[in-house]
Amino acid sequence: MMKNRFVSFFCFLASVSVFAQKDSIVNYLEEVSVVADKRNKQEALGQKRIVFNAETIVKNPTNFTSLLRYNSPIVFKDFGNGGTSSARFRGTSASNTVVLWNGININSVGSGQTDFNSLSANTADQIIIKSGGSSLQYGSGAIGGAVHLKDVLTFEPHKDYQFFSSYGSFNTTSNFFKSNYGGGKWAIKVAGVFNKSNNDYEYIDDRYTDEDGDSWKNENGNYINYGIDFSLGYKFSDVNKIYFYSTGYYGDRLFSYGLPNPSAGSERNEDFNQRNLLKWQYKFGGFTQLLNASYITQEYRYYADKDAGDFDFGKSQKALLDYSLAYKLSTIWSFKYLMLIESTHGETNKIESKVRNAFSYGGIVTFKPSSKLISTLGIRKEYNSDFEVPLSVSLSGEQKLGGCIWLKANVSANYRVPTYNEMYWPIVGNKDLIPEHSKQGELGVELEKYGFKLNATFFYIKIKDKIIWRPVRNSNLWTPVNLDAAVNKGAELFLSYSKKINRHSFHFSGNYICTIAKDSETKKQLPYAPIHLMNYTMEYGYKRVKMYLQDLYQSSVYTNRLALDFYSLAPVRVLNLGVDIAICKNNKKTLVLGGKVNNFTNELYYFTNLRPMPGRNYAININYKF
Amino acid sequence: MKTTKLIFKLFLFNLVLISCNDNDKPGLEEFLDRYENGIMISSEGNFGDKDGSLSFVAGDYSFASNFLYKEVNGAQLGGLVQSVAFDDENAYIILNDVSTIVVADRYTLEKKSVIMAGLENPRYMTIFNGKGYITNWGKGADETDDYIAVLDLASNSIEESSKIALDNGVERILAKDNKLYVSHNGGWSSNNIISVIDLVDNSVGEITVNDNPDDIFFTTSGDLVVLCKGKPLVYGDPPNYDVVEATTSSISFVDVSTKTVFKSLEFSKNIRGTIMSYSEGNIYYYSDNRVYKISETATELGADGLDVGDIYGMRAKNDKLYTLEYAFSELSKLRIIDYETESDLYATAVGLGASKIYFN
Repeated sequence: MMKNRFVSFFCFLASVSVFAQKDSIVNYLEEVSVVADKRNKQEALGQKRIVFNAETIVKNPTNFTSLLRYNSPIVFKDFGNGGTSSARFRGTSASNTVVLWNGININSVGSGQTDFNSLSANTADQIIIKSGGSSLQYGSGAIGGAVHLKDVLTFEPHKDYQFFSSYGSFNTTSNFFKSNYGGGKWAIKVAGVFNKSNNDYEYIDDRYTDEDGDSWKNENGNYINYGIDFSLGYKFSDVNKIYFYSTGYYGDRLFSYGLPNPSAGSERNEDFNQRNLLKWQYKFGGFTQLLNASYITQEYRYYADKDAGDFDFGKSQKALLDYSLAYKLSTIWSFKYLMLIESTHGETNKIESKVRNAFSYGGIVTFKPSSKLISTLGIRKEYNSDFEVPLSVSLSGEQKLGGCIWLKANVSANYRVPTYNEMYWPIVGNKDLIPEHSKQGELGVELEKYGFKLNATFFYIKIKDKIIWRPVRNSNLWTPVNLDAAVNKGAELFLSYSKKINRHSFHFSGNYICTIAKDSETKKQLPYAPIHLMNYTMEYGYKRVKMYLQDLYQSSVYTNRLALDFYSLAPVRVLNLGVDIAICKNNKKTLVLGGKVNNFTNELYYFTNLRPMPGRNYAININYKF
Repeated sequence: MKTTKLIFKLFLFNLVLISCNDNDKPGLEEFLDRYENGIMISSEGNFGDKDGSLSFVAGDYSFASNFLYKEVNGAQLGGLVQSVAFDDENAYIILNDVSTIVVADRYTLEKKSVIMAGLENPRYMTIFNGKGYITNWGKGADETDDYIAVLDLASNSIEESSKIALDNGVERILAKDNKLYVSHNGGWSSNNIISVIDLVDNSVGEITVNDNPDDIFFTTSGDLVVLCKGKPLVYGDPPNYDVVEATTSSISFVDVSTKTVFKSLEFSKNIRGTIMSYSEGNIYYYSDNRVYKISETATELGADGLDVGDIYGMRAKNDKLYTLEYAFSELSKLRIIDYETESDLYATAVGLGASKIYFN
């Protein structure tokens, strides 16, 4: 029985999620899961991953920040709803979080971060949240963790379509369409996304009101964004496959100013992102080779005054060629050689055009003496045209204990190279910066039994030469310096449980993270690193009706390194309640109508000082799969 | 299965250990009904973080207290505290980055009113004849939209029709004999004038001084003293980025009846004076980590200064020097020094980015 479930679980992950969508039970069970995907095991051996698919996405469709905030162990700092948003794993900094699109690092060249409200993940087939360092696989920035967006192409004959649309308070609408097709030789995915909102929610903080004593509104917070994905796969044979992925995105946002004077807001920001990837997989003898060629462009335009025509801009183009050759010597030993050539070109209206070239190579040895033990050792060396990059090393192991428990361990050395802004910003850019580097380890246990899935992982990260922007004496300038060291330690817990009795179903999925992240000098908790973060979704279904509760708790965070109460944000607790009704449900089609009350207790909460998040608000949606 | 149990126990044990919270909160939390007969310190906080604050130190140094406004009102001021202006009853707390003035009782700090309309990048305010005159940069990048907003103190509203447009980079403002005197530090760029506004007919005159005039004071004999900081031209290397080249910095004396500079004490090439205070016939100025004291009748700059380190704010009174350490990633330190004996009288930590000292 156990084995069967295991097998079907793997099949689910190994296949396109739309396959699974036909089988609503499987899908239902696997909304958020700890990954045990054997295929990609090497990518995260010894580490913790969780995966979401479309079923999770539709519960928090408005932006990527809210999706991850309610479903992942990541802490977000966003400047009000829809504003600039950055992600932190395990108390590390925003530039220690890597975002990957089909395996390609898409963090901004300028800031080294990704703004989680300037990309849409709604059309991704899989979102993988991998906690822990992984510079071995992903290079710079992979210290805290990685967020991986995947488009999945499969050749087995299938035609799956999904249309989702939601509309709610503040004239907010989120929509996407996705079609996945497999025809033996061909696999095609076409998807589109469109989001728009006036985002003019009321500020429910009654300590700050206008001259008449009325509540303020989130002025100047409108956003609109849309994107399109096109992916194509062709199978010459079982051992020879070629894939092409392409996506384009445009976002236009106004940045609200928050309290105490929302009417002072006048900023606007536009984002233009385009990404292309060609991937060729070829197997011969015991070898598997994979070639990725990618070209991505990113551009932002920032208008300090939305009514004035002039703007600041940043543009980058990145071309990369990534080659790996894996060889399976025996059932016990396998080897992999990796190589990556990357050329990045970046400029802003303040930074003259700069080109950075990097070459890296490495190797991974996998040792699997039995079905109960697997371990890998990998080394990667990068040569960068701008500075010396430390060696990345990763040693991982997984040991099966008993029937359903895996013990996982990983130690690694990772890095984050200085960004363009840090090095080249006029006057304050610091060309003497060296990469941040970390040494870290984690030990976890993963268990799956009786409908339970549990992953508990302890982590320890020591980061040195952290790049921090510091004020320059006697001026209004700030400059980045390699200054701080920090030790982050704690535990991450993931738990899910599913049970079905006759026509009743119950599902729980949640994360809890405890993070003690301390500056090595001041011994104080780092800014924006809550000691406790918890989120969970609890779902109960009866026949065609499903109700769910989402709960988020974040303990108080400091807003600067002083770690004083005055410079802190109060703990956050938000509860959302939703209902889904399946109007029509058969093998071919499912039509679900849903409704959701977000923040139904109308709680006042902040993720940045004096930029309130919305009070109670509503949305209805339609989710049609055919 | 035994191993499993053991591992679980270990996990639980560790969770308990890790969850313990160790907050150590500093003191400085003595609060009063009235904050009088002492020193009020305003701290800017960081631009955009909306965490400016007020501190108070009793005149006899018997106690000090930080983050007062929040304690009294249960809410933050909510912006970068650029400066504070006082009349007999009220404190007008000017928040630069959020274009807001919070009006609070001068002594209890209870909030009375909040002014937003008519302000854009407000800097300093002076009070004259029932009106507050507030210098505003307008949009930082726009060099043609600087102005003085006129606040009616009775109604706490800005009189849109009384707005006075001025040249770029308005900064400090003083009122004397029905005239306003405004230094043009230059905002995001640079300027080199003092504007004189005649409040009878709102006519504007200009006096040219050296680059980046900032602090201004009237001497007991009625002359206007102007600290011209000089315009930074070249910054040095990291990590300090010291200004290595600048235009001439000076302390200039203006005869306001003839609107002419009659004396200008110029600093050596590329040396800048950056903060100035005036007390009882003496000028105290800060240049390169030292504070110098000269008489208002001096004909040259001071020779021996007192080393006070990196400071961001300074005030002198009765030969006591009050300095605020330059600190935007730590709490600033207020030091009170007897200038003559060079002895420290008192020191305490105030808010982040403390910049101004007022006697309350």
